[in-house]
Amino acid sequence: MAVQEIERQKYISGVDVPYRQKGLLITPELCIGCRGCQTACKEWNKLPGERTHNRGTYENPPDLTPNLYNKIRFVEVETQQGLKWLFISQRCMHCGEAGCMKVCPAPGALYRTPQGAVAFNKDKCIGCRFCLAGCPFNIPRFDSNSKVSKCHLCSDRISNGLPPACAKTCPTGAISYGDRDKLLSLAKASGFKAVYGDKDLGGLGVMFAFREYPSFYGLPDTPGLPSSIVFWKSILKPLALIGLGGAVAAAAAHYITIGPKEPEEGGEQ
Amino acid sequence: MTNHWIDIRNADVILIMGSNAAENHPISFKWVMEAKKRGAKLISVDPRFTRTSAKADIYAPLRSGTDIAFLNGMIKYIIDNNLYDEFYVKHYTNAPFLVNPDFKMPGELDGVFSGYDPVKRKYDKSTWSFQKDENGVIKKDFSLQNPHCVFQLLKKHVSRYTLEMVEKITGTPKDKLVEIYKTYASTGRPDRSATIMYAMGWTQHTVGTQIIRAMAIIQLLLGNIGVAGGGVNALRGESNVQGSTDHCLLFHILPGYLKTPRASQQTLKQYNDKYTPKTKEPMSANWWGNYPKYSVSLLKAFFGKNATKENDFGYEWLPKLDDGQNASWIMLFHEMYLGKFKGFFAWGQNPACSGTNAGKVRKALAKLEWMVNVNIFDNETGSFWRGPDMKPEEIKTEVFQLPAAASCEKEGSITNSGRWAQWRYKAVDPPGEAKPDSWIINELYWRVRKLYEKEGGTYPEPILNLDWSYGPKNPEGKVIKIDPHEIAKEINGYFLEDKVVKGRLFKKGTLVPSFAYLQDDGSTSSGNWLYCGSYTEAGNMMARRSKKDPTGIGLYPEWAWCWPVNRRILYNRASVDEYGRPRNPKKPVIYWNGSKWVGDVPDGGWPPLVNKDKTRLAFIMKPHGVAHIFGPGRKDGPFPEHYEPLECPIEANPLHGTRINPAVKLFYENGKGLPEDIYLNADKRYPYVATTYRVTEHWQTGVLTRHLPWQLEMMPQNFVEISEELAKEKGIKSGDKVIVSSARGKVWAIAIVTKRFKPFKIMNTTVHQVGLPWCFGWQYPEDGSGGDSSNLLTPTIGDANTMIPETKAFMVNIEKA
Amino acid sequence: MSEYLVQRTTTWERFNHWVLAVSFIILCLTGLGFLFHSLNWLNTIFGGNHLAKEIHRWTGVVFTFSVLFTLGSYLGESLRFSKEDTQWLLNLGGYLSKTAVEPPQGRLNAGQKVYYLVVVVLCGAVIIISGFIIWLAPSTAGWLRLGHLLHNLAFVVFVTTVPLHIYLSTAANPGTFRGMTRGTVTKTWTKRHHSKWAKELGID
Repeated sequence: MAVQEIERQKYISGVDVPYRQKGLLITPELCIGCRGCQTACKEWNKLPGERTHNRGTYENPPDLTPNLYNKIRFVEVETQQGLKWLFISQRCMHCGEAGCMKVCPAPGALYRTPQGAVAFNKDKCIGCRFCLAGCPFNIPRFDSNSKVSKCHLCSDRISNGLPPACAKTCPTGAISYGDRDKLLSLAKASGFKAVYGDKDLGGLGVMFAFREYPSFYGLPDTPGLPSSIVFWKSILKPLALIGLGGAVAAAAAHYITIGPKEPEEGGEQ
Repeated sequence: MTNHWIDIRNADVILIMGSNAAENHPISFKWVMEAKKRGAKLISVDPRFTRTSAKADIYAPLRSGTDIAFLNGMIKYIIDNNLYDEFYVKHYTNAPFLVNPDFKMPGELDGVFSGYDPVKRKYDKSTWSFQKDENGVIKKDFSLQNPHCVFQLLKKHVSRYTLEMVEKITGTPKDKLVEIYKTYASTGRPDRSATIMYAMGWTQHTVGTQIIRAMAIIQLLLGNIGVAGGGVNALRGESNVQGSTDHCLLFHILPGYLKTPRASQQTLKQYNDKYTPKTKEPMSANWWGNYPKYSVSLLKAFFGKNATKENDFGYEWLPKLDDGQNASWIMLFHEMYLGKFKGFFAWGQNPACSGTNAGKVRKALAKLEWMVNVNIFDNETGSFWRGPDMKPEEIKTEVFQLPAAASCEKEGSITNSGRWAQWRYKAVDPPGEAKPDSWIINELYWRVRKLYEKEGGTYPEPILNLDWSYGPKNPEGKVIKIDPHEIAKEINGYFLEDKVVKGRLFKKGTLVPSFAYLQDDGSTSSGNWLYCGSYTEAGNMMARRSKKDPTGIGLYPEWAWCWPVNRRILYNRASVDEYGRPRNPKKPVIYWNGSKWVGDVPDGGWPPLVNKDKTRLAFIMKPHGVAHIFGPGRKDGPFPEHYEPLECPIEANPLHGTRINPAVKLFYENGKGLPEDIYLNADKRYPYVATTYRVTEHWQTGVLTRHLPWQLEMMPQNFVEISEELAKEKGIKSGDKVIVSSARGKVWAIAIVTKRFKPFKIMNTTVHQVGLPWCFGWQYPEDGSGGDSSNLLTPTIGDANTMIPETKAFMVNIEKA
Repeated sequence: MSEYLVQRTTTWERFNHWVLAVSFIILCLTGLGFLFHSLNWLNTIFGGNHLAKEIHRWTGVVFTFSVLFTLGSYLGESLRFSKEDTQWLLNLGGYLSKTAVEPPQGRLNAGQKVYYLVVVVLCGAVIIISGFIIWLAPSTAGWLRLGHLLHNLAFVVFVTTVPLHIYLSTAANPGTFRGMTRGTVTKTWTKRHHSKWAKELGID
């Protein structure tokens, strides 16, 4: 078996690996909010348009839905340098340490593609929605059958050597696709000191290059797995096994050492 | 565009004003962002903070319709601070020309130039002339000191546009004005260039032409025309509007910007003499001197063998406008409203939503006997009779709907804003009964021709004499399949007989390699001289797809084809010094290597300026060979002057006693005129300045995009953007339904209360500005949830020169619904 | 009934106990199958993840009712704590030495009372409520995380204590198990383990 094939099997088996091959670099200062990516995503993924109404903003639909994998948020902020109008892509970040995959009870429902994307298989999804609990970015959405829906980095495109639809359509290079390490050096060469997602969560597959604080763009400053998930993963989960094993072992030890409370002699059977 | 899209990346400063490129030309931002990466500064000037402004290094608001004040202020700043490119101004513009001493300017005549007739609302332009010596050569002062020279006149003209005055008119804070002027004027140095990206935000004003003139003057003062990263760049609103205009979309031109004949020009000679400019300037190429070659070649393309020397090449068969007649958009619908039309072809358009004062347009359509609506979808025009406030039982207009093929369902060329003609291939068959436009025209032509043959009728010759060789014909003579390549070849032109030109022999039937070979004796044809060279014996130049970039400045000369003669940057000989050396060696467009020009296709192969006897001046399309800072050809003045929009919030022009452009045609005055054409200025009932615009998510009136659920999902409903201050005053919350009304009509819209609009301080009073898109219509979405066209609000008035409607500045009121 | 035997449980009690036990085992097995990918093969026994999910949910409903039904049988008695119960707890029911003497106990010994209150009632409530949160609450990360955490916390208690309960009722105390099968225990066993109850029953 070729090395790549072993890697592939490892990926497909759902075993999480801490490195990534391909990814996106999103540079909000290049984004003009044209939402070509929002439409291209729907077009490629054959997602229907939904009826909406104007809520007093350009931003629409109001939130990610099972039919909206990538959404541009429009935020107006007054700063010391004047008014800013921010356009930020909200979508799955394809975490290296993917909380959704960690909590997913159905192996293969969420899986790592050979290119490093976190993709989903609705046939295997059991609709428990735990992935939403495990997600640090509030991304997964669920269709009418409760099956998971989210950006999968156009896994069907990237596995055939094509860039994701959003990156392909972006006119300004605000979304660029490529080898993750090359994107990182590209961002550094463009003068970005730190790249959001470089190291966080085992390295994000969707990284952001900006000069402001992440919270300026509505992103957690230090993204990490939800603490309840960390507690569960690092303490409760082993504890369940330890507790079960310990209880059985304790019972056995007790039986061997102290022994049962035998009925008194002469007692009835 | 004098330059082209990719060239934007070469700019050091980019001014986006009168357009919103990030939203309406998002692909252009590929190059804007590339320029920014290379250190360029982006300036956005707009009444509202747009997605373009969001990317700008400097943003400044200005009240709708005050662009000339803003730009004249910049001209003053450039001259006062000696920031102009002196070499350029002296050699490539008419700044040194001496003007008629009787010429007077608005500063002297209370807002008008000399020669104004207030009754006819027209200028007698006789004083707008140059002083000439005994040989008819224009007198010049290259020291630019003579008080009658163009430069001094300009200086005097703009002297009234002080920062204080500009701030009072535009509402733009003074410090922003200075910041922008300083940044933009930094490109007066030869090694720096600035570009302007404008669109309908400039053209759709009563002073639209003059706004662009003001900008052209700035570009000339700074030496920014003909150079990489410079130019005056109109962003066209549709992928092929440049091509449509080149091929005479408009009433006053024939293909290649030849003029439509007028009734008084009875012979070809009269016509050619009228439009062939003459000059005594020894160094002027005066390229339009070739006019007869192009007009005759066009007639040969129209009428083929039937066009002979004896019958003036069929000149008499051309339809002619009455002298002084204007047949532009506003006039067409005005006359239609007055019942002067029987029928109307609405071909690929939606005037019931796109036309200014759309309520009047809709009423006009009801006066027709018949209408043919050619479109991809039915629209508010085709179904006008069942629209709001219509009584179908009373409307007699018979409507024919012809489904058309979309652009990807047919083969042909499109010409983008950068003048690139690019060949496109058919991707899929049109659905159902939809047919390409050429198929529809071919059928129409054949049936009309048959009727003329059978019934005679009035003047059948123009149709019967047409040359119609666009594909294989059946025995009857009908073209059975239109071949777009045949059309493209006819546009390029053929040699119609064996001919020796410039020492080269061309065989009969071969394609003409360039317009320099066209003849006025009937030996060549060309359907559009500007496109001569686009389809030659070497093949279809428009289909080329080479990514070679030998100059390194992104000209890509072998990608598609660009008119004229594949010249990517117009007037590029203005980018060099008198020895032919690039004035900006970092971004050379062309240079003289001692025997010829290297780089882009030059504006003629003449040697550089030092060769005084052999050279020709850079601006070859201008009669005197130099660019017009003083532009006497315009109807409303040789220099741009600020006039208020037809409807504005103030009663008088802050500069003088002439409020609106004195040369515009008024449709309504002192209670006289159609009630539909009413306008109300500085009226308390309509206190807010409004403008209209497009959004990225919808295209034009939205006929293409409102049927796309993905686009509708993002932008579902008509909206009006208002400031937080106005919202507070009116008790309106973001998301509320409001009624926006003008003197002419009303629409409902969802209020978007935003920090991106701010009230202006105009003449010491607070003026609120609002804005609406015009991409919605009552017909779709079918439940009416989208709203109707904001053009129901806009006025009946047009620019003095072009009659482009003033839809970018008018007055409205807003009330909670 | 044999003269040596005492009726320890009613038929209803035993039936419900086994419903509880079986539903618990099913929940536990499917739960483990979901919790550990390495144990996912357990769910194969239940017909794959999809069916296992449905089984887990509906077995949870059965478990819920079963827990509710135990309240009638054990809650009242479990809440009545005597001085002997405290002594029993203090020397851990005598399980840590071969010679220890059990303080006199009623029908339920103190260990059983604590087990019932803490594990069956308290942890049962937690695991049941959190289970329904996961199943039925709105799809927000907050609800899901809360449900997820509580469900797993309770589960740790269950998997740790249930094996001890089984051991204590089988191998550790011969003669106990039949109380949950046939419903009877011997009088000797009763006197040995629940002398107070034996006294109440009049066994000497």
